[in-house]
Amino acid sequence: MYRNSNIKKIATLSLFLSLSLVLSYLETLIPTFFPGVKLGLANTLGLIVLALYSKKDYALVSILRVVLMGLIIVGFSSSFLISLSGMIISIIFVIYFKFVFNLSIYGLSIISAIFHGVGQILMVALLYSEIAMITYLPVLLFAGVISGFLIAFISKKVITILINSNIQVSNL
Amino acid sequence: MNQKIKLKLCVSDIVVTIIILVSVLAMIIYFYFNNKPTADARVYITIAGREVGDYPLNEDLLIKFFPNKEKNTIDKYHSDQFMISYDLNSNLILAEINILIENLYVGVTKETSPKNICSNMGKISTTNSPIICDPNHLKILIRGSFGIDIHV
Repeated sequence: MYRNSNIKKIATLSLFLSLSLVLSYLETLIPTFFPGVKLGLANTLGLIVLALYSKKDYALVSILRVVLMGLIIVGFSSSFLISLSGMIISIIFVIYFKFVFNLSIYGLSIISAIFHGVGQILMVALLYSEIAMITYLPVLLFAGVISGFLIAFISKKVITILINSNIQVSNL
Repeated sequence: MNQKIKLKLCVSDIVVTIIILVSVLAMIIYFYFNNKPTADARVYITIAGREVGDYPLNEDLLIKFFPNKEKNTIDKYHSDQFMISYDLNSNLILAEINILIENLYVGVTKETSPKNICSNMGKISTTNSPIICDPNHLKILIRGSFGIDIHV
């Protein structure tokens, strides 16, 4: 039988996952000026989970978000594969940089954004057999630095509010 | 509740950011100096992995792809050499796509993909910057004798 705190944790993580899905969906409605470049508002929830829970929970919530987005909105097409590869590579590097270089939320958010772009480019290059897609990398990296910084700023504010509030979340 | 990552910007963040920005700059410089269009450059159009045509970059052409049961055409330049003669799987194209080759540039001028990814990628004139449009399974690439011309 689950302990009360464990149930609380699952419920809170589910809430974060649902919120990230809503943000992901809302972001699809915002037009982009450069293909593949977007703010990545849903990543705020990923960073919050990483900050308050464990790397395993962060990976789980992030991957489930991509899978559920595929299931509900974008479908399991090549777009899904592109998103999934971006997310997997992003998770791997965020966890690596967190433990090896002890980056703050700003550094981790930037790493998350740029490696998401790198993963997406690699998958597009693979799907279309076109390695020249790497020429689009500077655009995604530069956009990743800016969006990563902004997302970290928003996440930090939310985390501070959550810590200062009376919301109790189990870390078990 | 305690946070498990640092919330304040630290030196390592700044170092990582500087490294990324320097890499971006290096890539931009490298790609800029290796992207000269060539006299014999050609535009290759691929749909769903099938190369459906290649056209000279120095000829002004308007190439139109249509979905189901409509004839794919080339305007501005009428030559059998460039006529498209294949059965395109119509399901792969969402709606009419117009590809314009003009003044040594090629770009998508008309399409109906959900986010207009093709046309938002703008015009290209170099061998190292393909236009890839996922919703229409479309790839446009320039190949020439010089510059980065990598094709797996």
